[in-house]
Amino acid sequence: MSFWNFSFKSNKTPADKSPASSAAHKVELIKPRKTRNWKPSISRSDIVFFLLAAGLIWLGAELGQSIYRHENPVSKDQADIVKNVERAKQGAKITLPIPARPGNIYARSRRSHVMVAGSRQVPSCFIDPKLLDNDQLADVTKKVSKILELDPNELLCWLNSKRSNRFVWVAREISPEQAQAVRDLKCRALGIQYEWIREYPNEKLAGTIIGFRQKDGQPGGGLELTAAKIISANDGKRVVHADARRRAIWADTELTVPPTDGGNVYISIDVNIQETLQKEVAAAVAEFDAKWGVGVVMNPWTGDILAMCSAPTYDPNQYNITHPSEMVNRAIGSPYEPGSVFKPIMAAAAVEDGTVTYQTMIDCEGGVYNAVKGGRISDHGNSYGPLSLWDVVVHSSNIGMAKLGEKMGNQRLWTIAHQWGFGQKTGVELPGETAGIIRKLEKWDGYSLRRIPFGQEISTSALQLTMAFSAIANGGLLMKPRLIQSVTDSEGNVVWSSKPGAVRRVLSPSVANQSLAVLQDVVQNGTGKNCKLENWTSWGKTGTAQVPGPKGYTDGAYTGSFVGGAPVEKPAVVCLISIYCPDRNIGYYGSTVAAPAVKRVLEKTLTYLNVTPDRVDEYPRPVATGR
Amino acid sequence: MRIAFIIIGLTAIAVGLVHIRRQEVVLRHEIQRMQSEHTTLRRELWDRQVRIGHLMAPRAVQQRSKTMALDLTANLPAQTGPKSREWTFGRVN
Repeated sequence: MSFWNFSFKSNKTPADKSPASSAAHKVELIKPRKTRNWKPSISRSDIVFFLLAAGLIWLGAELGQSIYRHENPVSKDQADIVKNVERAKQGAKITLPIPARPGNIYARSRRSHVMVAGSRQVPSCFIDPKLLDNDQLADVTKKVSKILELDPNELLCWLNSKRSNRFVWVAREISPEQAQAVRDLKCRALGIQYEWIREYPNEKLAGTIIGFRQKDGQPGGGLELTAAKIISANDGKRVVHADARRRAIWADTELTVPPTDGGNVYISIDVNIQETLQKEVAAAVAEFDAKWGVGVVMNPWTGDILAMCSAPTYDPNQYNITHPSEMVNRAIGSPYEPGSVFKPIMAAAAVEDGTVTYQTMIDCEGGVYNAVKGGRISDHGNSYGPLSLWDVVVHSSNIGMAKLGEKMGNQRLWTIAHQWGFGQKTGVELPGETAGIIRKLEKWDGYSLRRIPFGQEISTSALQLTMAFSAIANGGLLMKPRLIQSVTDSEGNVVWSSKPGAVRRVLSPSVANQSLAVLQDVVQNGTGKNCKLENWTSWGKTGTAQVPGPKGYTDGAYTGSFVGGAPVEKPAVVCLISIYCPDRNIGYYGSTVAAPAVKRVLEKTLTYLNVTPDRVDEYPRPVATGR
Repeated sequence: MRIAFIIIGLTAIAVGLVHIRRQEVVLRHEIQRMQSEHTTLRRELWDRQVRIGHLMAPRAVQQRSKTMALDLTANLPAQTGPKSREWTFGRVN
């Protein structure tokens, strides 16, 4: 029986035939089969159903009303309620950062990689003095100072002076054990906060290459600046529900954002070669009381920079107490006149050009040459007569090179300089690179024509010079310098790696080989005798350049350079060292101030790289047909 | 009888819901604990990586070899020249 199917009984009989009874008769027609007393027949389940339905309607109405109130607050009170509810909900949640580490920088070592820049988090202890009364503060200070090995009286004075502050550092960069001990005190006024610090474990090693990061994480130079995008990390976050005392209870996993650590950068610098080079350059600068010195060691076949330094240098850990001049990477950022080390480049280019051969005789005028519209050029006390171009380079004759310049002409010289990469940036992945200085061709005159071939009126960086000599060493290819070798993600997967690349061919292999033989003769019989190695054949070229000032060359100021490599057959490394403004009274020639340092660097590097010694008794006679 | 079934059914559903809810809270708490531990372990990893970096620095290696009186010798290849010499890290013997 349905709940709605009510039935009732009429008191009228069929005998009642009055007009009024016709309606009753109709009622009679729908009379149910059974006639009963006039009462509803409701079962218990109907009642339950009714109650449930009523409850449902009531709940629905409540829900609808609350939604309506939420969306349309009609009064200020209701709006406040909604606001407070929201605030309470927010208050129960805490957003915690998940720290992501900035990437590390690794340099090469003998068999592995060594971290040269890395980040870690260190705990620091802080206090909220307002949460403690005087007695409690004294008590906490006593306990904390014992853990953190601080003077309790001093700390108490400090905290009393900051009594109104809500956040005061007690000690920064404490050990994890100390942090745990502070936590174990269970004092709600004390807290531990983690801070990032960037560390450079090798201290001064390759400081000018790596650069530094400021306390706020901003890169301040070197690779830190160049590779900032790779290294930078994105912190994650997690939302947790907290209790009234702001202690995390459980995680709202749907709102968790995972951290993204920075990528790691692997560079071509070898820490052991870098250490050797840096030590030698620093020693030379100290010994000759120079203003600064630079050095580069390179693999000529790949263009890998194995070491690069300038002295004085700095420790990136202490960038804030370092003089800015010490932060400059002078090997790429300070151009200087190369002097005689430029001669082999111009000579090789002239031979390649077909203008001359190494056997072409040049009259060196007995030591002094007064060129028409070219000034006076001397060979610094040496008086040479006719010399082959080979000997012009070996004996470093300025007059011979000036005459070579005359044969070539300004246009050709200018083109050669640019072909060899001078006057333009090498593209090394470091900030602050100089392009060097080459004046516009229109400004070149008779002086330029005769002086640029022996390295005056032109300024280059140490890296540009090393690249050029690497081209001679590798058979004539001017390579791109390579510093960043690969980049990995935080899991160690290689995401990018560089390949050696050539800029252009500047010499044919045969001319390159001849040039190398000339340079070998420089070490054997010429100005570079101080770079004779004991176990390997070597080649090189000295250079002693005057330092230009505002009014011509500065009296008594020189740059002594030496660039060399070994072994001659297949040079494994090329090394350049330049010492800027050494004390003239101690020594200033490239052969004195730089060649011995290059010799030591080459010997240690070749030993370290396991290069097979190739020197048998005496140096083999360089191949010099028709010399 | 039917009501009894309904009540029992509803009670079972309610108990199940409460149980699921409780499990969820417990698991979320566990996740929160593990996330914290993960962060702590990562911190420790970073710390150790930097410490290894310090230990592998050439100067630190030299210092240790000096302190421990280790005679580090370079592994020179077979000589083709007449002379031979042994290299100790940074100086000639």
